[in-house]
Amino acid sequence: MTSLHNYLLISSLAFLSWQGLTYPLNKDLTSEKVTKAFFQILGLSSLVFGAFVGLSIYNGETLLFGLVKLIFTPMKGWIFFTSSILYAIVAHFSCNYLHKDSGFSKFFLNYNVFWLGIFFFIFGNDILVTFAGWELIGVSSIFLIGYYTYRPAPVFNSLYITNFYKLGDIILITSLLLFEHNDILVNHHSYIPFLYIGLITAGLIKSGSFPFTPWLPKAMEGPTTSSAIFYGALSVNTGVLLITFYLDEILKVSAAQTYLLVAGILTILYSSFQSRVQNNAKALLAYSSSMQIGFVLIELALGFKYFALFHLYANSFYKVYQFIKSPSMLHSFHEMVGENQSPFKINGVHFQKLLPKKLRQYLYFLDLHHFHLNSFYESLGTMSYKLSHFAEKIFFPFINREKRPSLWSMMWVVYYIGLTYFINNEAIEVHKEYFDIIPFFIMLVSLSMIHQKNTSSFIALMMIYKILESFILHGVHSHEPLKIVGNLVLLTFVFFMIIQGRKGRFMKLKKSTLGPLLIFMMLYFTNFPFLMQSLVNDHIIEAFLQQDMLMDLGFYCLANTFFNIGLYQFIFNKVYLQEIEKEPAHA
Amino acid sequence: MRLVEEVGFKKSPIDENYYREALTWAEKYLLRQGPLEYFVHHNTLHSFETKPFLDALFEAKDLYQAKTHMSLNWYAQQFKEKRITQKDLQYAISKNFDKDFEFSNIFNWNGNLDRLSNVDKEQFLKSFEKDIRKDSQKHEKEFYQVETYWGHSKSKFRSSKIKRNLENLRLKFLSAFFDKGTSYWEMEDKELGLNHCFALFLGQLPKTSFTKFILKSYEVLRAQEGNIFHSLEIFKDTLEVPEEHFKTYLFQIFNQTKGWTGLVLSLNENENFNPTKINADKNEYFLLCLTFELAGYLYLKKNNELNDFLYTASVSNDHLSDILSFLYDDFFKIGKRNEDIQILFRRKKAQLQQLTYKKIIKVWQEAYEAHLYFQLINTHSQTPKIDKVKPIIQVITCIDDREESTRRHFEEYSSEIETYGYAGHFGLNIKYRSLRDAHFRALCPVNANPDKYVYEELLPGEKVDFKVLAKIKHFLFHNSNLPFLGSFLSLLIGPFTGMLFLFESINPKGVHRLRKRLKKNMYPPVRTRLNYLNEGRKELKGFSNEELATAGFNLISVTGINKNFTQIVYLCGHGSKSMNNPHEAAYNCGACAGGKGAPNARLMATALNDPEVRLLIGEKGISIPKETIFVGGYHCTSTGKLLIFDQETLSNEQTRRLRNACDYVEKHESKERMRKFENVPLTVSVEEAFLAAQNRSYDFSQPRPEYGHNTNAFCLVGKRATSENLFLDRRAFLVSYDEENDKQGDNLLSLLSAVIPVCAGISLEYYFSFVDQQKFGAGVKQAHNVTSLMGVMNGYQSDLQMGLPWQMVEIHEPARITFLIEAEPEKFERVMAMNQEVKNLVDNEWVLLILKTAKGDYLLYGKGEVRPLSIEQISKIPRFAKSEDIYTGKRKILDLAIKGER
Repeated sequence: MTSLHNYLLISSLAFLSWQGLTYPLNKDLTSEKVTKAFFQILGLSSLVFGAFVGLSIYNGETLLFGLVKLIFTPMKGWIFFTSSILYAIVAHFSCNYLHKDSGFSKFFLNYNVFWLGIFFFIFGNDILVTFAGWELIGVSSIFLIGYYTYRPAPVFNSLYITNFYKLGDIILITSLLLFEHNDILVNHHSYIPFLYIGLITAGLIKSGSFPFTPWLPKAMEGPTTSSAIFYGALSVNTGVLLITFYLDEILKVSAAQTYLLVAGILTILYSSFQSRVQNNAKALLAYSSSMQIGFVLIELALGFKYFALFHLYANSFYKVYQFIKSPSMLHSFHEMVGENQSPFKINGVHFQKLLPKKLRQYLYFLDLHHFHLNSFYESLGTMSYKLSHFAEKIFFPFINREKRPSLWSMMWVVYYIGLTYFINNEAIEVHKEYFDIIPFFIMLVSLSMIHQKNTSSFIALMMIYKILESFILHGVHSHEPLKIVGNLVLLTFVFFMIIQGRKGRFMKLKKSTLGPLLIFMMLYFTNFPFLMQSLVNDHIIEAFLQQDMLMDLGFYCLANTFFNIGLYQFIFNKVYLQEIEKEPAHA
Repeated sequence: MRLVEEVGFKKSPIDENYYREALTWAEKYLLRQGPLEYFVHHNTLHSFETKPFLDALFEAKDLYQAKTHMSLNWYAQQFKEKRITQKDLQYAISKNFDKDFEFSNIFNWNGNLDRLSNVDKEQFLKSFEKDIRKDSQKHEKEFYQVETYWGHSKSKFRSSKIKRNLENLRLKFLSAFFDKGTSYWEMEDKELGLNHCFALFLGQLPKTSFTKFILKSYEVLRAQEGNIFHSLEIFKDTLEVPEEHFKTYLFQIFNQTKGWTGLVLSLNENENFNPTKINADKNEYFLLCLTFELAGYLYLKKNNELNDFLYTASVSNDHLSDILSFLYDDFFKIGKRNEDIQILFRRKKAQLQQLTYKKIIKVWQEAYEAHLYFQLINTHSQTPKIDKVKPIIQVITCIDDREESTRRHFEEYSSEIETYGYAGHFGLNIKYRSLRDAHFRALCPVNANPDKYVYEELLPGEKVDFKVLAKIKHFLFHNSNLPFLGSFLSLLIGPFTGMLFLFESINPKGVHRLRKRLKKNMYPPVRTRLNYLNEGRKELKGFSNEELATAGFNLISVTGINKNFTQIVYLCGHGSKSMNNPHEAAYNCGACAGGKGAPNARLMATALNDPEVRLLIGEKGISIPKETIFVGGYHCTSTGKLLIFDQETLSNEQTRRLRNACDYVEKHESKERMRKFENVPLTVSVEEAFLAAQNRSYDFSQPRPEYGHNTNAFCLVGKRATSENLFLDRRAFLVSYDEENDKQGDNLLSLLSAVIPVCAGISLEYYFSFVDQQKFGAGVKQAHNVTSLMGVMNGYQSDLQMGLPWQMVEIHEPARITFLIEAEPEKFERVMAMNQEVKNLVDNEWVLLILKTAKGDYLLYGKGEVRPLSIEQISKIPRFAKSEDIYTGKRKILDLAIKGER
């Protein structure tokens, strides 16, 4: 295991890079020119690098900064090369397209982070690095969806997508950890299909395949260029690439292979039906891009790896171009109709006409209502809110309806600092029954966090969550993770003070400082890679695996998702929702 | 009927008139906007034109909950940057307040709400404020927002979620219904009407506890056999809306999706916008909106989520206490004692009563505009007269402000060129279909009635058919989104699109040329002519020679080109070409209803060359010499190119001469235009600027192909002689008007009836889109998503966006347009008396109008009175010999300048 200071170093670097997210740097032309030059250089060097790796000039494994494990193979090199072409063109395009936009630097910071994610994800040779790439891609796309913070729809939609992404993240990290622990798999052969199905599911979520398609069209909120590169190409490709990297193993397990095949077929069916009835340019292209991914999934399931990759990237080029050109749709349609000298009769030339009219209409409107898939997810959301209100009642002493900070949160801090510094450096015996109950409680706590808007009760609940989490850690590990958790708690305390500072109780902070701080906290406490929480997660999942309790691991995963969702919602609420419908920066 | 009883509806005879009135009221104030391909500039607050401008702004502010004027902070900023000078401010204050006005320090206020803490002050102001309010007249407000049940639910979070869901359903259905061909699988039975399809749509809603209520409210409202008034009554009774608030509430419901409402209303009102005959009755649309509103209420009520509530009118902040507090603090700061201030306040109570927030904004806005129009008349009055040589080419362009620099450069190229401005449809109200059009398109002002059909046809022996190309494009358009063909296509052409994308973003003009050359090889250019005569037509009416002669006579007599007819008369229509731009039509010719004005120019030239038409014009009193040849042309305002049509009518020598002039103008006009774009260096040469202009237009990464009517501020009506030596910085519409040809004032009447509303529409649309880019404008271009081929929305799902996008208006100066008309007052007053629309606009100050009499007096019209303006002899007016002297090296808006040596 790597030493702690590496993590600290990287987390502070991450913090610095995130600082620019909520407010633009200077907007003058020189900064635009510098950005343009920077991206031209970065794009070109990525191209050259990809080609070198592809041609086996760079080969083998490396260790970056004594921390980041990378592996270079020709296939990965060519994948990176192709992605770089898209990246470079879209960067060049965006410099013009976002000229004079108030979020110019915000866009390019996210784009930058995204590119780092792509690099780590493709070349990662370690769970942590692969996952880091995965998460960087996810987070940057979430921030670009919520690019226009002064309107509610982008912010709500980026939260909606966060829910899917977070579910995917926890499934992915669990599967990857299971992959690492060969010793467990040797004893339990029955886990193997679940492992691969988990991997594939994570890929399906990221690539917007069935049944997770509903998030994809909702991601069309950012500037057109970000929609193009993320949801026409590279971000949705990530899911497929994940499956591709583990394809040889997946094909050995027939259950996983079948699952992949079925998912592909269903994706094609669902998305093709959806894309037929869409009436706005971007949603149409989103479904059409998801449909092509369905084909790629089938090709993968049948074992045509290289053909699938070719299909994936050929389609990426095509979709990016179509996305970029989507504002021309009005113009080109009229030109087309004009050249035909009469409007096209669209209806009646395709197979729908074979169906009787009643059935056809029934299908059409069902299709328009997304075959009720969206409302299924909505009802899940409603249910979780109801459950959240129910779960809240269990933790009533910690729930605070007033604005005053509750003493509870402070008491936990005092308790926990004591625990961290005075306890022996040995693992505590924890009974197995105890292990059974904790995940369930954790789930209840995290559930009750979902709808919490009051700062101090949110903090109090979060503390309980952290402490229950650490109980699991006590059962397996000695002092080191404990100290980490202790630090976590101290940071929570700081976090708490900062939020309180907004009311002028402890200290005053400017909004421009507060936004990035809160966002950093959000990333810190969720399983953002290289930050401590992800380490804690690793240990806990390991603990469950070693104790051989898959069921409870499931509970914990669910709890973790709820926790993440709750935290993201809370912070979005604090940072963005208050900005909505205020003056946009450039007016 | 069971459901009807369930919501507590008693059937009784109703007062239909009441509901009709309420609905008409709501309809009147809803905003309008047609499909984007027919984008026509119009006054956003058209329905308020019967009220004075400033009153209308504040009433509209309450009604639309939008910004209708700039903030005090913004005005303070302009003051700092000298866009408003102390003199302008003094002028505006003296115009609005008495002579002994003592509180002019209020104009130091930049809207900041900080107060000095002062116990004496707070105590005094508390009672004083009450005093003032008591005395000021109370009147019932007509415009406000009603607080409805949405604001009174127990959980704001849940109710806002429900509201969002309802709105999304509404948007989803509407965009599917109005779709003109985006989706592969179209909604069927659209011709049976909106209501029919809506019922089918509701039939497939997922069955949840929530959607049940939508069905229920739909059944209740529809049970009235299509009588909207009965449905309105049920709605009103169920929600227990008080009578006085009902019409406002109705307005609010429809205004929720104001973009779609605007579309439905304009499709209903203007059939030119609806060539595909979409059957969308506005009453059925209203019913749809009511259904969702009722459903929300029923749901919340049933789930016991509503608190008890009353409908209340929202009160807008009149800023009285802020104003008083600022004044008090300001006096205190300069060292006055508490008692003195209080005495002053009491003594001048009447003045403080008049000092409302509205008045402050009014003064600022007037000062801002006064700066512009004083600059205009001061410069205009000092214009030197330069002797003219006999012209050899006459150029007639559109009155558009973008043509100002085109005309100036024509004159700079050679003093032998004379230019004129005439509305870009050249007086021809036509519906036109080119070889590449499916439908006839109206090319005339919106309020005119296009009843003449003109179409382009091939000359005998020529042959061209684009159908194969169209079929291929259609194949690619739809099939790339289908499963098997789509994957086949992406495998086949995917990698190549990547290359195309790369080349296109590096060299847009090169790729455009390549495309054009390919097209040329496929379809070699053909020679065409216009078919416009009535003879031999059965159905679609064309022109008779008599009608053409009338239009031609009007053109000649209004502009006065008959004074010295030249050999070549170049008639130049205009339009704009840009890539990746849904708002492309908004850059086109306003007089051609958002179309390109080329056919009108070509038709007019063809007609005026016709000997029979000339004969008829001769009978009316103007004889056109034989050697005079009219030639049509087209100016693309984004690429800057000037085209000449039907060149065979000219001799080679004449063509060369005209072409040389055009070449000069293309380049120099482009350079002047390019200075405003920040990513074009200021040091470019004319050739580079021309290339940059073309690259902008063909570049699909460019959200600003041109700046359109940005910074428009003036409209000059009169002879070119008085304005040709002015540098107007592309800010002025220039209308040629020859008073000598117009003894009766009929020409002035017909001219102003068209020019004033059109220019006011353009200017005010820019004003409102600039002032509130979210509510009246269309937001930023980067988030736009083309919907149903009708309009754009923001992101995944939102309302249709109205108005102009931010990239189109960002350098505008939000001022009303100033008309400077050279005519005698009697003639102008006759126009006012004859045309109510013009009278409304002028009297209510939606436009500012200055009349220049023959004696050289400048008279400002407005509020039904006339105010002479005093001219100041300014010595500092910049001078120029060539336009380049003035604009080179500058980005910002320039002061007006005069030609000649200092």
